[in-house]
Amino acid sequence: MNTRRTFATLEQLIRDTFRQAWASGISGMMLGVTAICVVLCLSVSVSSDVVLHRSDEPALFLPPPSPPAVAPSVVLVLGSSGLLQTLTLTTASQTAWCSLENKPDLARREGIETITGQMTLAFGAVSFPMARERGDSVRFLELLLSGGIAGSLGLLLALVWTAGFLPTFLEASAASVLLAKPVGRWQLLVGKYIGVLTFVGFQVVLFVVLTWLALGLRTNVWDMTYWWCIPLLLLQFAVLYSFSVLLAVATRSTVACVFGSLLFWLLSWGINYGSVMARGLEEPQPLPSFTVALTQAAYWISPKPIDAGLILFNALDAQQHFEKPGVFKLLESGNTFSPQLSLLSSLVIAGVLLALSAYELNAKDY
Amino acid sequence: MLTLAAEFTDVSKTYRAPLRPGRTVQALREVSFGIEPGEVFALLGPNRAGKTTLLKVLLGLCHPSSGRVSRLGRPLSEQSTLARVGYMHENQAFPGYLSATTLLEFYGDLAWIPASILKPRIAALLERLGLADRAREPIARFSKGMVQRLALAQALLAEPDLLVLDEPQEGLDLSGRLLLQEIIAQQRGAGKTVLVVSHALGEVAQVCDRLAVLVQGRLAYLGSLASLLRDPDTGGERPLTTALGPIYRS
Repeated sequence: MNTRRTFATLEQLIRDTFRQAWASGISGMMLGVTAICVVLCLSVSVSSDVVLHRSDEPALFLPPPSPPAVAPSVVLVLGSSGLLQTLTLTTASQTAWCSLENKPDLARREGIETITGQMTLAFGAVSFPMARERGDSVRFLELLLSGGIAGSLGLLLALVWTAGFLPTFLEASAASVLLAKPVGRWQLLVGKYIGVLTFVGFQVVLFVVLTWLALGLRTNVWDMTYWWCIPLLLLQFAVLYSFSVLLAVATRSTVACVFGSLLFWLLSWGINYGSVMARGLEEPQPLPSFTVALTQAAYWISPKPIDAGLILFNALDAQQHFEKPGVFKLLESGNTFSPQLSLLSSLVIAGVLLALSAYELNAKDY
Repeated sequence: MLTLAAEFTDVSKTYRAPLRPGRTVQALREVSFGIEPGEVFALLGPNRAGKTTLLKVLLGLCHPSSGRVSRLGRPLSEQSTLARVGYMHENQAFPGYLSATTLLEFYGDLAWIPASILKPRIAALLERLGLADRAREPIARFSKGMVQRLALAQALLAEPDLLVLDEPQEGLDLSGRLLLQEIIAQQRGAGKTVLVVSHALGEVAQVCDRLAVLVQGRLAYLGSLASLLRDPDTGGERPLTTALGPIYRS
């Protein structure tokens, strides 16, 4: 089969997946979720914010990672207020900040301009005092959208909603005629897999680009790092969906695919979390070498949602604005974490699961 | 040497019995015969005789446990020969969200039919099979008979050298059955091979040149319809059901 025919087959399978998604209402539901998030982003408004640092300075205002990282003007102002006299620089700046944040009048008397800005959501129905400058608030929303909505809820919904695509496609009464065409079974399987990935990828791109545009239009913050979540989310989905493919080939049951994928996702979380915790326990109370080897082996042969979360956190440059969650810190401790290896091993897992599925489908009698 | 449209040599197929570990079901037992090009060949037999399994083996849907099978003179592993084969499944389920036209475009692309030929051929086939007025409608709204007509259109799409029909009369009304017979005769006229599996003996008898009867996975009869119908005692013609009775009981 030549390359042109392969691409023609692939194109047909991708188009078929889009039609299937549209007909089953999945496309509509995903677009609905995106529309809600876009409206939410369009409802955002920011007022009276203050630029706390120059563009060439680190975004972190308080607390500083090291004294030179603090904007010099801020340290000067705090110092002259008399509030830092009895405390060290690092802790003092935190304490001073906390004291002044709640007493803007006192701060103003001391010559410190406190932030009085507000971010409102739902067209002003809900408002939050802004902790820092508008870029931070937008970044917070982007983290919430990419990690919380798209990365967790969206990923799960995409897995559940697309779980029925392959079992329907492989059902004996539907697949027999397909399999009697001059196209390899593995090509049909991989074509359908790529079709689903293309569909989900399209939805992710739509979600990210539209929410990015909406936030940008409302806040004038155009942060391109948010776009990193497109390949990262798609990779996570690709790994989890490859297991769904294996289940679909083995059982041809939508129910098995839905529950199996969810179980696999939970198991992956458990294994990833367990391996991180095991790493954390190594220092004070070393685990038996067998347990360590087992958790490490399990870690390498399963998807890594926590790793993916950390990679997303780092890709979005979120450590500049937010405290890194404990599990991420633990994962990075000891400098053994390699994002490249983590991503590569996830890709290998997807490849192995797909190869197993193709082998199983090839051996199957219809 | 004549290249057979299909050839089975000592083909056996054993399935693992579902939900019964260790138990097996022998669907085919050393079946050997050939189908010549240009003939209409019928495969008959009672339920669970192995007819559909044999078709599936020929189409590569099912792997034989032993024996050799060739399709259009080439081994089964040569998948490219499937581009010259049309297959109508006994109980076809098409995606309900597709229209008849989109469905045929989809299958046509998979069967390597060039786009320039495909579109006019689809229109002609839908016209021939009486589906032209419903060509853009979702298949979900089709009746069983219409789905069967569409399945037949799909099987004919590649203008196949070997047309394999599994219970094609199922769900067809009288006009549909007549149309089917007409199409089979037309295929024969064009020098194409047709392999029909059916339990509607009378209708198959009217169109077939030769037939094979499978009973419990074994080839129980192979020959022409005329010799099957010839009464060995009187030399006269006997009804098909009477002729098949002793074979089915064998």
